[in-house]
Amino acid sequence: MYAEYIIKRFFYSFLAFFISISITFSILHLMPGDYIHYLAPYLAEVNPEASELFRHQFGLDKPIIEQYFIYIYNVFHGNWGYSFQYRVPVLKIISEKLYWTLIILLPSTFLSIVIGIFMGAHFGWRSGTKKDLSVLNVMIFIRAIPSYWWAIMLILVFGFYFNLFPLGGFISISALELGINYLDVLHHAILPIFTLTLCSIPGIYYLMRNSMLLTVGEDYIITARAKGLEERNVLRKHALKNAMLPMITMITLECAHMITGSIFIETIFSWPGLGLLTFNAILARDLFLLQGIFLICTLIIIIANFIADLSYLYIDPRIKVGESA
Amino acid sequence: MIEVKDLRKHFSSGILKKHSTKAVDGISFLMERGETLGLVGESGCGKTTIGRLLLRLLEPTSGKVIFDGIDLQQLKKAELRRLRPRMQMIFQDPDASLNPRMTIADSIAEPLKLWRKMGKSELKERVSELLEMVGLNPEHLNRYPYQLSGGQNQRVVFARVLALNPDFIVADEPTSSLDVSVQAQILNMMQELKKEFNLTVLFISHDLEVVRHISDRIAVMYRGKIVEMGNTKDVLGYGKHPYTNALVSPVVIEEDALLQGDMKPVNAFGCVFYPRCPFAAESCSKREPEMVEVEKGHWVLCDKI
Repeated sequence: MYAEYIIKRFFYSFLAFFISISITFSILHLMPGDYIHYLAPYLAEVNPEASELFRHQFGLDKPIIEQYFIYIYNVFHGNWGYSFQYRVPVLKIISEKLYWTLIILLPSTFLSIVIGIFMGAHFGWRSGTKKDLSVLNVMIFIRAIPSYWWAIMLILVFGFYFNLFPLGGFISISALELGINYLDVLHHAILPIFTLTLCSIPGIYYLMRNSMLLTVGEDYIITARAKGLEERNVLRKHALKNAMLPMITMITLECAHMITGSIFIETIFSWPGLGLLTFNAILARDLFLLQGIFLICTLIIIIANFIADLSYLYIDPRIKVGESA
Repeated sequence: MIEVKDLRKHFSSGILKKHSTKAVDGISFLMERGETLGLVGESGCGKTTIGRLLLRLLEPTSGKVIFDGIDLQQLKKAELRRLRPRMQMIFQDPDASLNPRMTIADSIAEPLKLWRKMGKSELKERVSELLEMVGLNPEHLNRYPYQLSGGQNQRVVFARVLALNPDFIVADEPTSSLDVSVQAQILNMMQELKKEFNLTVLFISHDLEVVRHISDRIAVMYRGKIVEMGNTKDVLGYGKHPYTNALVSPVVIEEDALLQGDMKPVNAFGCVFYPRCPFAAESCSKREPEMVEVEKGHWVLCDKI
C-alpha cells in the first residue's frame, strides 16, 4: 500500500543526496588555495617538489573528473578520506566532535521546541490580546538580532561583569590534573545552550502561532464550541492536533541541525564541536575534512526529511495513499 | 421560540482613528417553533454575524436574544454550555466544518459522548442510525472527510447536528459550496428532517431560489438592518422595499442599473439604502425610516411606502 510512496520518497532522497554531494565537491575544488599553502605559504616557491609530492600523495594532481569518480566511489564504500590537519580518517574526527556538539545542541533543541510550541500554541489561541502582541514583539526583537551578537552580549554580561560563567572553552584548566568533571562541563555549557535556545525559539514560535491562527478560524472549531465542548477540550482535541501538522517538518529539521552544529556559537564559545571544526577546516583549507562535514550535514538533513515524509503517513490521514475507495 | 430584541454588533478597528463597522444594527424579530426563516442579503451585510449572535458564539454590543424563554445574555458560561446541544449551526463549507483528523464515526459520536451517557455498543448503533437518517451507508463510518464528496460531508454535518436533538439550527449558506443537483438533494433532506424533528431553522443565504424553496418567511437584510420581512410569497412576489425589488428583479441589466451608486456615504441619520435607492428623496437622507406593517405580518423599512 505505502510501498510505492516510500520507494518514491527514497528515490528522491537519494537523488537529492547525489546532487548535493556533486555540488559540494565542485565548489570545494574550485576554492582557491590548499592546505600546503596554509601550512607553509612559501614552500611552493622554495621547494616546488615537496608541494608536488603532497599533491601527488593525495591524488590532487589527477584530472578533476577522475578525482570526482574516485570520490563518489569512496563515499559509497565508507572511505571519506583523511584530514590533512589531524592526520586521521575524517569519519573518526567527525564522530569525536559530534559528541561535544550534542552536549550543547541536544538540550537546546529540546528546550526550544518545547518552549516554542507551547508559547506559539498558547498565544495563537488567544491572539490579538495585549499579552500576545507584546510577546510577538519580543520574539521579533530576539529574531532580528543575530545569534553571534546575543552570544557576545551574554558572555559580556554573565561571563565578564557578573563572573557567573567562564568566558569560553569546554572545561577548566584543572581538568589536566583532576580529569574531566561533568559538573564543570555543564558549567561551561550553560551559556551556549542558553544562547542557542534563545535564538531558535522565535522561529518555532512563529510557525506554531501562525498554524494555530489558521486552525482557530476553521469552522470545525466554532462547531466544537457550538456543541458545548469546554474551551480547553476544543483546544486539546481539535485545535492542537491540527495545528501541529506543519510543525513536523520543522521539528525534524531542527533535530537535523542538532547534528550539523552551530558554527557561530561554537566558534564564539570555543566549544570543540562540529561547528568549530568546520570553521577551522575552512581556515586551513582542509579539503577532505570539509567534504566529510558537508557530506554528513547533507546526509542528516535528507534523512530527517525522509523521516518527516514518512511520519506524515501516520499522522495525517489525508496523505494516506492508495486506499481502496 | 426565538425572540430577538434590538440586537446590535459593532466591530471596531484601527489604532489611531477608531472606525466602527455596524455589522448588525438594531435588529428585532420573532421565530415560531417549527418555522424556517430565510435570511437573504448581499455578502457583507451581516447575515453570518446574526447567525453567530443568535447562538451567542459572538457577544453582541447590545440587545437581547431570548431562546425558549431564556435570555441568553443573562446566562453564565456553564449554563450556556448546557444549553448548547439545543441550538446548533451548519456552515457553508462542509469540508472545513469537519475535523480533518477525525473519522466520520468519531465526528458524529463526539457530541453524543459529550452529552449523552452511552455504552460503546449503544453509541455505535446510534451513530449508524444517524448516518442512515441522512442517507449514508455504514461503510462510510471509518472514512475521513477528505475521502467523501462535499455533499456527503454536508450530510455528515447534518448527522452530527441531529445527534443532539436540537430545537434550533442556524444554517449558514449550507448549500452554497455544493453543485446544483447536490443542493437539491440536501435541501430536500433538510426539509424532511425539519418536519420529522420539528426544527426551527434560520436559513442564511444569498441565493433567492434556494430560500424560496425552503423558507416559510423571509427577512431581507441590507447593511446590518432588516429592510423587509414577511411570508415568502409576499416578500418575493410583492416586495415593497426598493432593495428587495432590486434583488428579485428578473432583468439583470436593470438590477445592475438599480444597484449602482456608491456604497460608502451613509448619513448617520438617514436611511441605509439612501445612496443607492432610485426613489430616494431629500427627506430620506435626514430621517431614519421606521418599520411599517404594510399588510399583516409583512414589514417594510421605508418611508416611501
